[in-house]
Amino acid sequence: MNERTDLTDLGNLFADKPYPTADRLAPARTALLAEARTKRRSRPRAIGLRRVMLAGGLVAAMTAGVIAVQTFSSSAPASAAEVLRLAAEAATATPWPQPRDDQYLHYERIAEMRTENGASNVGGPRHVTGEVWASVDGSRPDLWWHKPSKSDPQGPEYKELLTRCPERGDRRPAYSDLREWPADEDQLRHKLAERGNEMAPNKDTATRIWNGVVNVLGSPVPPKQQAAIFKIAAALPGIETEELKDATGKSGIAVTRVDNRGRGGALSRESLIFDKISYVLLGGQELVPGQGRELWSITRPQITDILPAWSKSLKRRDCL
Amino acid sequence: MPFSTTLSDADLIERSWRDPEDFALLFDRHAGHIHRYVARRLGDDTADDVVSETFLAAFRQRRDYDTARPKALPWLYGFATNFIRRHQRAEIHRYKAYSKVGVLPEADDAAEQALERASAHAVRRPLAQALASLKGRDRDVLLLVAWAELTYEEVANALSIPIGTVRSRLNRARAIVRNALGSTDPTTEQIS
Repeated sequence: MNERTDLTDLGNLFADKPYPTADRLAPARTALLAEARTKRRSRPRAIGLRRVMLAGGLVAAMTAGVIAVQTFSSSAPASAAEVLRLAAEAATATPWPQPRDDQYLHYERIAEMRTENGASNVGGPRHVTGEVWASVDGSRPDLWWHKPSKSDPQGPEYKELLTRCPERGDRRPAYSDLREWPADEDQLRHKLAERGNEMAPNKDTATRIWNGVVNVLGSPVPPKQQAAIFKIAAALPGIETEELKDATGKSGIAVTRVDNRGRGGALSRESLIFDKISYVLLGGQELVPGQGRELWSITRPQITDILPAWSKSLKRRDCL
Repeated sequence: MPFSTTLSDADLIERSWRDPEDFALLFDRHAGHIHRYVARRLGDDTADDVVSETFLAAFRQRRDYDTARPKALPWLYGFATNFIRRHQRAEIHRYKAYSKVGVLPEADDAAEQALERASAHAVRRPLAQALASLKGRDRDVLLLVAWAELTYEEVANALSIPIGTVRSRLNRARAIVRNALGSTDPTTEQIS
């Protein structure tokens, strides 16, 4: 008998056992993170006091401006579902502009992409600081102004008017479309799954819904729908919390869902990042170990009736 | 660059001394391997528990990790092995059941059972019987080599035993396995 035959035969025994899915591992990971967070929170009291003082300062500063933010306890919630429940409360408790259909929502969007190991699939600009003027009902072109990043002031800058093309089925819903989305949880879940399936087809239902949630929240969403979306996300399997920084470098509490979407079934970690104090959505992150990560953040929208005067010289381009 | 992919296991563990949540990145790297290994020995449901216990125990002892060893997988297999031992009777029952009927106890689907039975040819059943008959510590060494694909040195590190002990346990276990395989086919060579 060959010297290695016994080990080879043994190596083949039960070798068809597959690797576990991310959902299967999620409870163990959540238990580990819960314990890790306990250790993190057991820092000296002085740090906790500093956090509270800073939180108070932040709230005061924001209240003094145009935005009032409801505050919640500064102690980290125990679960991802709890973070999303607080985010749902924050969405409806926080003042939000009520635009007319003929107006624009003006907001800032920052995105940063980092690749690893020579991966090229992320592509595109590495850092984008942009301002967006989005037509509320989608009847007028949106204006996008991509500015050079602070780290690369000589980088490209471009301004474009983007028209909505109804014939393209995968277009992002306009704000007024979202306002009409169903309040009924089952119907909304179905709507999100539909949207998620357009982003990445043939996934399981929970993954489709999560993809729909993340996609829709990438632009302003009316508060009622935001709250309903957070509640639906809270019921999804495989979500957990962690501390992450958004694209502006602001540290927040994140709700992360792990999926096998990376190359060769590698783990992909997609997160929504919330303000630690107010639970207002700051942005998100997708991390695919070995390939790269993308960070994004959006600011709260303001209402404007017209586009900036300089946009009149721009030609309309492409579909949104 | 994301440290989740550019740092060694030892670097990650060292980071977790300051930032405990970084230990979750070690989980992302290795939990799948540990789970599959345990599931081959004990089935998926018990593997869920063992993986959770393994990473919690490793996290609690992360400051004892020897950071001169860049790869932490053997260290994690060591914790897993300790928790697997608590289920030794269930493990032996599992192998015996398979050796008798060619089906694992957790295969509850009729089609899955039929498929397993069909593939449980003359080699696999005696192998399972041999695994059931091994001493627990010999089986640990054998399966860390055959299933977890650790080197002798890594097994020694995982189980905190001298490398000579790894060799002697492995030789003892392999003799039993060879004997079981030899009895299935009279044309195979005799073991020297």
